[in-house]
Amino acid sequence: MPTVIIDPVTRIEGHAKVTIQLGDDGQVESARFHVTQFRGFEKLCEGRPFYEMPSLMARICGICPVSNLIASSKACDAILAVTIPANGARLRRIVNLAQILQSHALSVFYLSSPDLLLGMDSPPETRNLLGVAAAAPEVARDGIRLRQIGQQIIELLAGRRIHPAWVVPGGVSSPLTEEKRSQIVAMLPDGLAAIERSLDRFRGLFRAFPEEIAAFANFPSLFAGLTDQHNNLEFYDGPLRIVGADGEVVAGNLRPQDYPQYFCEVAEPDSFLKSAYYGKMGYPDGVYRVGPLARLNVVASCGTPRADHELGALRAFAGSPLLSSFHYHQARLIEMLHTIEKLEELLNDADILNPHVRATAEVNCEEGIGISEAPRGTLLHHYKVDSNGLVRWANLIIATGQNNLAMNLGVAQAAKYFIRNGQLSDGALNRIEAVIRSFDPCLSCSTHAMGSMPLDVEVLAASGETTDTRRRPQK
Amino acid sequence: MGWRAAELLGAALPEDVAEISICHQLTPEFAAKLENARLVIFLDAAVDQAPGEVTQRPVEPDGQFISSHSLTPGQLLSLAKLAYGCSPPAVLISGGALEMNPGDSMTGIGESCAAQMAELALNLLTRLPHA
Repeated sequence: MPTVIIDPVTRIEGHAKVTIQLGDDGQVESARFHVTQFRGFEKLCEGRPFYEMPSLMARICGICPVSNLIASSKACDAILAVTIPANGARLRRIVNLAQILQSHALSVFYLSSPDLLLGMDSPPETRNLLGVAAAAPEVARDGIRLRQIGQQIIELLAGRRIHPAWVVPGGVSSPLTEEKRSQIVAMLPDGLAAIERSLDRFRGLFRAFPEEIAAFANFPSLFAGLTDQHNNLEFYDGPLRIVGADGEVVAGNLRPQDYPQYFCEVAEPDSFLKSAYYGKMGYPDGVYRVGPLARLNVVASCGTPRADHELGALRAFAGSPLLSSFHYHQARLIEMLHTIEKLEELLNDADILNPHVRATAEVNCEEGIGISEAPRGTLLHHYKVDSNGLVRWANLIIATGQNNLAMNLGVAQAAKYFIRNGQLSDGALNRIEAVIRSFDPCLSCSTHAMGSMPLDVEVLAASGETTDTRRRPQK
Repeated sequence: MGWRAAELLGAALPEDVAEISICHQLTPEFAAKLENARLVIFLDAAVDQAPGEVTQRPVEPDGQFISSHSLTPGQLLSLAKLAYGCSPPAVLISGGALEMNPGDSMTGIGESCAAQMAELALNLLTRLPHA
């Protein structure tokens, strides 16, 4: 029985491989997504003082350090047992929105737009940002600008773009100045124009992929995400909600501290990435998705006018809830629009320059749980400390792990749809990778591969003999 | 070494003569910075030349493969050309590194190399018209 191995999967954040098992008749029997990196952050932080955790945990990832910083700081807030000052929370929200903006720009424009603009079957050597810049320079410029805006906001607020230390237990370490506020506000019209141009361009383009919509992880599942009290999009706080494939609320008003009752994890033998599932439905039936698609499925509306208009148009086209993971791309664009609108709202708050941004305390609780929405979905940090505040145990439930079961099902669905009679066209293999890309998995971005990332595909006979090898050209 | 050279260059240059960006790696966002540049100078350590050796060579747009995280100087110039229609002259000044592991300070060779790299860059900038 031949096996197809895609290793590494390209244009994702981190390193992974896919194994596709073909039957004797050449039809796909199964497919698996394996994460091949081991990190061990939960173990290496044991014995460290809790107040080091935000900075340590930010090192998990070079793309979304701010997300880990926020979830970690919220867990530490709980250890301090403080309610952080309102303006501290407001500033954390701003930096989190900037993080989502820059990360979504990376996913949509740098990683996935080559497939969308140039086509899934376009030559592999052109499926990159250079290819996009050659075919549609304005798209490349808008993507670069949007990422720049997100990163510049992070740098202005937090001092640096990668691994900042400004978000701390109890709030943030310094207030916003009027000068920086003005600089950030001045960028927003540019960002709004760029995202609206992009939505205009991509909206129609997405409809030109009916097969991908049909076969990219398009199945019923649960969806999870934070909401605010008005059932709007929420990235920083608020209760968690889980909805079913029919849009009905399966579980609502869930408190982060109760997460062990609803989020369970299992380690599978072929991957270093744990898989999360909804506890009440068990493993492997409790498949749920998080991230932009899920967030738009759990809320009634975004809560900002432009994003709500776009969400309405997407729902009119694709239905509600959105079941195909291909729609993650459009959901990401809508969230980017929402972040710009929300940033403007927060930065114009009358209290935004209030210098009271941090609460201080000693260790008051020996356990803390922090939850927030990262670009890729719900992120949860859970720490237990001793009376001296030294970390004794940590558990991190990351978005990509929560999407792992769905990604596996999606890879299998796409492989069965696009690989026929054992014919391994480059376009088919790219589509299988593109299913994974649609989830935008982040497999520990702080570790990067050296050099280029070729795509090797090997077909192995039942005996283990290699019967076919393909290698993507690399520069 | 590249960082140190950039710091030395920054200290030696009058304000507003050049914009100095210090980074771990070249990302696509730098392409936007090249839009109105008259000259681009890349300063970097090199492992493929003798320790202490300083070289200077022109850089042309080059490269098909592009990663989201790190570009070569040639790939960055390609992106700037394609996305922004700009093609500024560019030079790569490299210093051969003796030791790349983390440490408290640079080696004497590294310090000397960085100073020579900054000096070369300064010469290039001062030769620019109206610099």
